Amino acid sequence: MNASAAALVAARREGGLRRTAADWRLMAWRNGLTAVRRPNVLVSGILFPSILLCLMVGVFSGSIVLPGAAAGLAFVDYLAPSIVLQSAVFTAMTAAGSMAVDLEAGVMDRLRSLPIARSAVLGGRVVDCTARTVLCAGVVLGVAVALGFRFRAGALPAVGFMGIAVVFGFAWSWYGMLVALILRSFDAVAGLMFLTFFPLFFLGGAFVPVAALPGWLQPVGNVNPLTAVTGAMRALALGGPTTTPVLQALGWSAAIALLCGSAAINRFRRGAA
Amino acid sequence: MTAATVTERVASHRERAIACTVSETLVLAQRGLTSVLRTPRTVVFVIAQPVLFLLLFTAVLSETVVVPGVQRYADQLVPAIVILAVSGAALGPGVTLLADLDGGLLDRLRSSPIARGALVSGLAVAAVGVTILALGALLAAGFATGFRFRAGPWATVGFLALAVGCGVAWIWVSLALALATRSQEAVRQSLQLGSFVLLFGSGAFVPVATLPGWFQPLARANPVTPATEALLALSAGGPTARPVTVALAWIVGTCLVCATFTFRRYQRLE
Repeated sequence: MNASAAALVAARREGGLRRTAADWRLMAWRNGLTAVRRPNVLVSGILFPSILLCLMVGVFSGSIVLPGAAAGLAFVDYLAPSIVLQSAVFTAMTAAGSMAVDLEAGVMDRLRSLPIARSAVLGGRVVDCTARTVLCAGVVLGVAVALGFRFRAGALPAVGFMGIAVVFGFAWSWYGMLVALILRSFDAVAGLMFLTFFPLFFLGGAFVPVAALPGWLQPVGNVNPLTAVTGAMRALALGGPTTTPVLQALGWSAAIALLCGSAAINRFRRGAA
Repeated sequence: MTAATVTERVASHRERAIACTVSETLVLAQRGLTSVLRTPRTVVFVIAQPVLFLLLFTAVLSETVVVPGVQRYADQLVPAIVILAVSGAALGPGVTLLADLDGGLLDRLRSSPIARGALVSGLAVAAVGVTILALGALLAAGFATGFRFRAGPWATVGFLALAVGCGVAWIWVSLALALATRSQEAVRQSLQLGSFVLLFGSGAFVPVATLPGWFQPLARANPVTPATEALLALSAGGPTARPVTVALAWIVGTCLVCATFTFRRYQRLE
């Protein structure tokens, strides 16, 4: 038995890249299944953003006056990119929450004792999370279109629009995983993600342009990853110069993903998990 | 303790039923409140959520939303966030009740000579304390953003009482949901989503008259609309009789239905 275990381990080492890819796929599939079976994923990724979009468009369309460059824009056109992004980010947050649950329940320890590629534990999370982000953000986009939102800049920018949302969701999921690895509790992760995302989102031009904020809050609005990301998505959907905002959005996403990703992987390797 | 004294105690207990139930409720309420106050995370969430949303909504909406008849948007906004604050504070009792049932507290209490319903009513009373804490934090933040009580001292008392009353209604909804679903996550999700839909689907943020036509009947039928209208009238001034009556009717009705359901279910728990 000992010999055959050693042989198994040896055989796995030999398998290298293909084995690793298979492990990633398996973990992603497992995470996807657990996510689909937890109602909170559908609620926070699809239901909550869709309802927010419907109700905010219904409530504020008649009384909100957008300033500056956004003046004359229908509120749904202004709001929809933000809410699609919110859906992407919330989906990413559920991945971090599920990881916290795994940590609490000891699934992570179990995975460590299995002869699988270590990278698959985090990698499977990221793959599953990205796939679900596309799905959830796509459904919310459908709701936005039903409410009157249209892409005015053509098909290629529309693809870029979804791409930016997914890339930022991907970056944010690394932040969530770092938080999950540190706090190791579902409630704490949910609370902290909520407390960091919402202020950035509100002050990042999500509902009204930064120009409408009180003067002392404008710096918070201007130096804000969400301002860059929703700005880029809005430019890609509605037309206008896209190069600078898209580069800014990608820059922020890359910075968050690299910073949080390396810290999370580092922590995971050191055995904090 | 001899058998005689136990029998005596049980007998005397029965005799003073109402007084005993009240004091036992208060003991369990104190226990509930202590456990909340010793969970810093919960305290932070209950206080931070309404304050954060008030400040963010003020920052975002005060310069962009134009509501005819309302000069300071802070006046309109604070009643809306009151609903958010009390519904956030009401999350606690439902979740705690389920955690207590899972943790075996019910079995422990059954073997003690105390009123059975004291656990539920104790949690409800403790949650009122948490609600008052959340409202205090919210009103302090409201004062910082320009909200003032402009309708006189009695109206102010009415405002505070009505706000706590809304909280009591949410607390019973939370407890009823807990025993209806028996799942902490379901209580959290349905309460958060429900309060959110009711709040945004009402005349809380803008008067009903400025909503799209198809939306107005829905908003008028929504209990949050009379509640926030009454709170607005009691703070900013205006006719109070009708919205206050409708809001009180909703509060009393909700409490009666949910409390009856909760106690019925609770008595039948295995």
